[in-house]
Amino acid sequence: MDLKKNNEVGSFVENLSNIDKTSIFLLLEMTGKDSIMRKTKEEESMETVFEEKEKTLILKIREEIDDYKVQEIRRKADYEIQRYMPKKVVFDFDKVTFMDSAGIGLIIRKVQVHKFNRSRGRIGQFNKEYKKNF
Amino acid sequence: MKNYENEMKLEFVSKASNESFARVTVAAFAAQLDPTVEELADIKTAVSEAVTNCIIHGYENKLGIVKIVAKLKGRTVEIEITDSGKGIENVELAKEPLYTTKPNLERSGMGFTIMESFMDTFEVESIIGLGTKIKMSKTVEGQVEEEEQDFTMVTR
Repeated sequence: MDLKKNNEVGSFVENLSNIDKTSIFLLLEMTGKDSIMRKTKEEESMETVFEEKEKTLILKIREEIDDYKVQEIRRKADYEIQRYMPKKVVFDFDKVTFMDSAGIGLIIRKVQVHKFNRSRGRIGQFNKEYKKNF
Repeated sequence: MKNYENEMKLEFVSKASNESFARVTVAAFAAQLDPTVEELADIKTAVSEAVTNCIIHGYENKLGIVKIVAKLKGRTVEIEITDSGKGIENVELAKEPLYTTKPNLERSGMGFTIMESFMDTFEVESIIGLGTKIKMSKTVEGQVEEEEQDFTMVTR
C-alpha cells in the first residue's frame, strides 16, 4: 500500500519527517514519564525491599522528586518505615529521573526522624545527572 | 535592546502539578542550543525551584498565575519567572542556604542556593504585595563535536 495515496496517513507521514529536535525532546520527556508508562508492580513509583537478617529497609524511588511528588513519596516512606520498623533505612535514587531541593528536604527530614528513632539511615546510589544536588 | 534569536512565553495556574510541565517546556525550548545532559538538568532544576517558590511562597498554595519568559541569544538562554504573589520581605535572608519561612512544610530552604549555583546569572526582584521576578541565565557550551578524522582507504 502506498501510504501517501492515503491522504490521512500520508499527511501524518509527511509531517513526521518535519519533526524538529525540540519536538522530539518534548515527546521523549512526556512519554518517558513514569506516571504514564508504569503498568506493572515492578514499575511502581517506589519499590520496597526489606532484608530481614539485618533489619534493613531499602526504598528504591523510581520517579521524579519535586515539590508535587515528594508528599506522596514521604507518605509511602513513612508507611513502610512504620510497617517494618527497620534498624537501617537505605534510599536508592538510581532510578530517579529528576530531583530538586524537595528531594533534599525529604532526606533531611528522614535523617532527623531516624536520629530521633535511634535508627540509621543511608543514602544509596543516585542518578549521576542529579548527583550535583547533593 | 537585545536582539533575541528566539523567545517563548508561558503562563499557567500555580498548581504543583504544573511544576513538571513548566521545567520540561523550558528545557525543550533550550534544547535548540544542543546543550549537554548536565546543562539541561541544571536548567530544569533551576526552573523547578523558581516555579515551586512562586507556588509555595508567592501564592502560598492559593491560585494565581505563574509567568515564564525564555529567550535565546547565541549560546545563552535567559529565563524570567514571575508571580503576582505576596513578595519577599528580606531577599538577602531568603537567599541564605537552609533558610525557609515554611519549616512546617519540611522545606529544605535550598531553592535560591540551587538556582544561584546552577545558573550563570541570577537576580531576584520583589515588592511586597505585588510579587516576585526571578531572572537567570545560562550559557550553554553544548555537545563537544568529535574531530573529523581522515580515513585513508588502502586497497590491495
